Amino acid sequence: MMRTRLLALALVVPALGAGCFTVNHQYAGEKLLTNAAGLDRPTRVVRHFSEHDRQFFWLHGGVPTGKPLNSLQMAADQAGPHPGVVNLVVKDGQDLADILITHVPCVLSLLCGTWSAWAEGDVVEYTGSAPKMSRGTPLPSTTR
Amino acid sequence: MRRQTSRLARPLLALLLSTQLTGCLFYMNHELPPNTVFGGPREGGSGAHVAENSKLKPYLLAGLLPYPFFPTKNMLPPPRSGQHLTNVEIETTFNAFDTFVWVIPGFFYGYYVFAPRHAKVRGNYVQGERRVVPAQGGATRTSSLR
Repeated sequence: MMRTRLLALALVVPALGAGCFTVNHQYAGEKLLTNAAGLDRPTRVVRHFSEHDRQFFWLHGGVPTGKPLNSLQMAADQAGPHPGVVNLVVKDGQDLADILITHVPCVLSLLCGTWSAWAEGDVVEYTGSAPKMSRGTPLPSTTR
Repeated sequence: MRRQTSRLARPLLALLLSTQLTGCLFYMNHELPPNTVFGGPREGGSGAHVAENSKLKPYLLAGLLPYPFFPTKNMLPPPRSGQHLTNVEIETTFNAFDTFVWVIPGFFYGYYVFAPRHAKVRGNYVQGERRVVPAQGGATRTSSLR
């Protein structure tokens, strides 16, 4: 009987758990977010940033709460009035706090859990005359 | 002497585990080809095409240690000459397969033996190389996220 229950639980949990702890790094705005060292025109670094966000989920990450994790949106928010972010690095996972929350009070993530997302980069602004902000009309040459 | 070694071993083990725990827990560093542009309005034009790749990344001990040979770096190939990679979006999740694998092998303890997670990357290859002028005062620092 016990074995049957465990088997039933094992079959049900995956069905409930599809898409657990999902993180979508998406951005649809006008800021230029790139892992390159610069943009298509001369810029200067305004400041460096390193941001972290944490989200709480119920039932092994199946039921998210609050604002979704999104490292690209975090980077865009950091850009503020400036045109974009360069040297961008994005990452997600669980740090020590996440793992403690997820495994101890949340009982091995069965009841709940937390997940984190990080973004790090340099906010830049154009130097010289301010050009019209563009996502980089392809130019004939490259300095890659 | 043996007792002293034992006393020393425990904090060392705790330190080692703490370091590992803060360094490798289901971490996914989304490294893409140089000069990749993330998100933004969809760029088009002739020859533009969307590419997508999804990869499994399994971990040992509930995400503590990633198994080797399952890299998620550069999930999209570098653009060919005369192209650039833009509109990149990333998704990471425990999909149905991952959760199933997590539960079935030994019920919940399977999670500590083989815990897979999936990463999906989608990008748009657009004709025309992207010119990059390095930013003045750009960081020469190494990212703490890598």
